[in-house]
Amino acid sequence: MIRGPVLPQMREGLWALVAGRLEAIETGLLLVLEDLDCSGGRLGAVEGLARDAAGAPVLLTMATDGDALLAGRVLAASEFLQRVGDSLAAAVPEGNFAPGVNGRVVVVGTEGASASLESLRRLSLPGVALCRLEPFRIGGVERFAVRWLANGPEAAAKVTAAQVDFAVAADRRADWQTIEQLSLRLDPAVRIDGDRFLRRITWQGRLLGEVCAADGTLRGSGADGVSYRLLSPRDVREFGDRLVRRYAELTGLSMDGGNRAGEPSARPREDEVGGGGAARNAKGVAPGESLRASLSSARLTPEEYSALGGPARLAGGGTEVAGVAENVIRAVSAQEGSWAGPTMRTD
Amino acid sequence: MEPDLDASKAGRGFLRRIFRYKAAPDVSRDREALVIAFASGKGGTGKSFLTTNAAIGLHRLGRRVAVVDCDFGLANAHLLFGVNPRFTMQHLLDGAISAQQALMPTPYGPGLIAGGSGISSLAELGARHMQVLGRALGWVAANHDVVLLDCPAGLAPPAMITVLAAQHVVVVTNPEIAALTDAYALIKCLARQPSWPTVHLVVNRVAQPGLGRATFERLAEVSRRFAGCEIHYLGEVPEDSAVTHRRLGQAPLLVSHPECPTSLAIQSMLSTLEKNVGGLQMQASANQGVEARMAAQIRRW
Ligand SMILES: Nc1ncnc2c1ncn2[C@@H]1O[C@H](COP(=O)(O)OP(=O)(O)OP(=O)(O)O)[C@@H](O)[C@H]1O
Ligand SMILES: [Mg+2]
Repeated sequence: MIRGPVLPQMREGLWALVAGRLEAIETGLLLVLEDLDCSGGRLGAVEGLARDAAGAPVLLTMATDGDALLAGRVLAASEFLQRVGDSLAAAVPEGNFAPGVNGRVVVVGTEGASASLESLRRLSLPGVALCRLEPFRIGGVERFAVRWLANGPEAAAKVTAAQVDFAVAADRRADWQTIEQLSLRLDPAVRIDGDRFLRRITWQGRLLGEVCAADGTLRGSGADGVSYRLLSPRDVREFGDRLVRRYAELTGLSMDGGNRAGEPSARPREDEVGGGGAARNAKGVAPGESLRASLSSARLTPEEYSALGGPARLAGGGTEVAGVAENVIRAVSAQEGSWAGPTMRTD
Repeated sequence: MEPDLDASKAGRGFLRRIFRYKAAPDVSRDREALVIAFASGKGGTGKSFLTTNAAIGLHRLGRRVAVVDCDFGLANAHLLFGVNPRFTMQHLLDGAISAQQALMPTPYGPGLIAGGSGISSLAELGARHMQVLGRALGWVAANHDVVLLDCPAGLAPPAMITVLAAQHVVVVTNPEIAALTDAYALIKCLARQPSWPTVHLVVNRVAQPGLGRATFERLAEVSRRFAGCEIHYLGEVPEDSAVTHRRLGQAPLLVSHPECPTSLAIQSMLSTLEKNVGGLQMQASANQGVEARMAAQIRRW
């Protein structure tokens, strides 16, 4: 079904939508205060002050069609951040801002604000990042994708998220590069995208793993949700191994055939371990099976996915629409009706 | 059958000593708090929001309640309680402080052991740390009626070990499919363990009334059919812009808006939980308290 614009076209409406989903704009973004006036009342208040995953202040402002004050407001916000510098941490203690880190202004716009975003992009203001929300509807649910726009006149207007700098601490950069290179070598269809603090590694739209940079560390998480602390080259190798295995699984190259989760197990039951637990094993864990082994076998089968109402693609098929959704940098589902703005059918 | 403890008979003194020893009054460990984990497969489903507000609700019901923020990497319960902890889980796990020192009061009643947000050495959690945590939980459980564990999302071993140390787990999901499949992955994983806590479900961020029940029924059916696990419904909590627009430093919802539908839903969730569990209070722990349950899981790591 094709639908018309569903994102709110007013600043307040757009902010109401965005404020509740800051995680979708950027991993780890946390709202601290709303309505910050940086221009002595001349250009309107900036909608939000947030803290990012590195502890830096982020001023958020919404760009909508026909907002003549946008550029002035963004400029004032950027100047404000430079002017107050570290003293913001003392002035807004609830923000827990880390000292010595540079703040940013993030402008969030809709399709309707493309022209304003484009002129801001050409200005190439330092410390200002621009993104556009692109709505779509899938499986009866409204979602939006976040597209970051590269700064500067020479950059193409349409860029992929991978061009947003990944905020890896300098001493972890080599580890990230190892993971990145390993992933890209696997297959030309491997893509890496995400935001400033998160990178998703996908193959044909299916998740191989994620890497998150926060507070000076790197964390990986496998497609099965198991997370890995990437502190040493050994951790990085282990995580890389996990990515390769996942890739092999998806492409059918995997050698480990047996023991798919969810299949009724013929293994004997083992007696209760803790005794405090309320329930006993129903499907059976192998005697002496380690916790880790039992975790990795908890992958969902296609039958379980479809019984839960999951899209067909998850059940092993491959519909294009779902693939598109997976490719989206950050897709956030929003229940229909919770959108602040008007919706318009065009089909 | 009563043991024969008559010491006047030859050879019975030994038996008596044994029984005396077994009954040695470690009163604090005879009874323990009910330990309830709040968990989810997917991150961001509202565990911390519900844990902190449920703790406040329990405090208002007169329970001695503690929240332990086990979200080792991205802890935020202290932010939701509006406190600035002097000590965190990191100090505790490093052995620098006792559980008693780590437990801090909050302005709203419940005690809190704050997690160590983004502290890198927490990233190296090993069996030894989990043992320390188990001991600390033992102490907290001996001194409260109810202990709520705000668990990390996902299925990493430290997360699973914490969930498995509880007697009850409240799985927090949202109606959307990604949260649902991840909640199911967690349930499936629990049901593969030799023993696991009783599973309860709360559906958070529900946009239309009734969607929570429908979500539960689907998940319950799949859990029963494929994982052999029964789950119990606690209710739905509405999507509420007052929650999402909450600022740091603002009082928790149950305090700022005690009569709003979301607060009422949380209180109703608590009373259903109380009914399902047969009372939210200390329980006889025999010799299988939270520390022992945790130790049993650590051995399987
Ligand atoms: N009922 C609700 N209505 C609206 N927003 C909600 C609701 N419950 C939670 N939220 C919002 O969802 C976000 C995530 O909530 P919370 O931090 O409690 O999740 P979590 O499961 O603890 O996340 P994590 O897995 O990262 O620990 C927060 O911004 C919170 O304000
Ligand atoms: Mg949390």
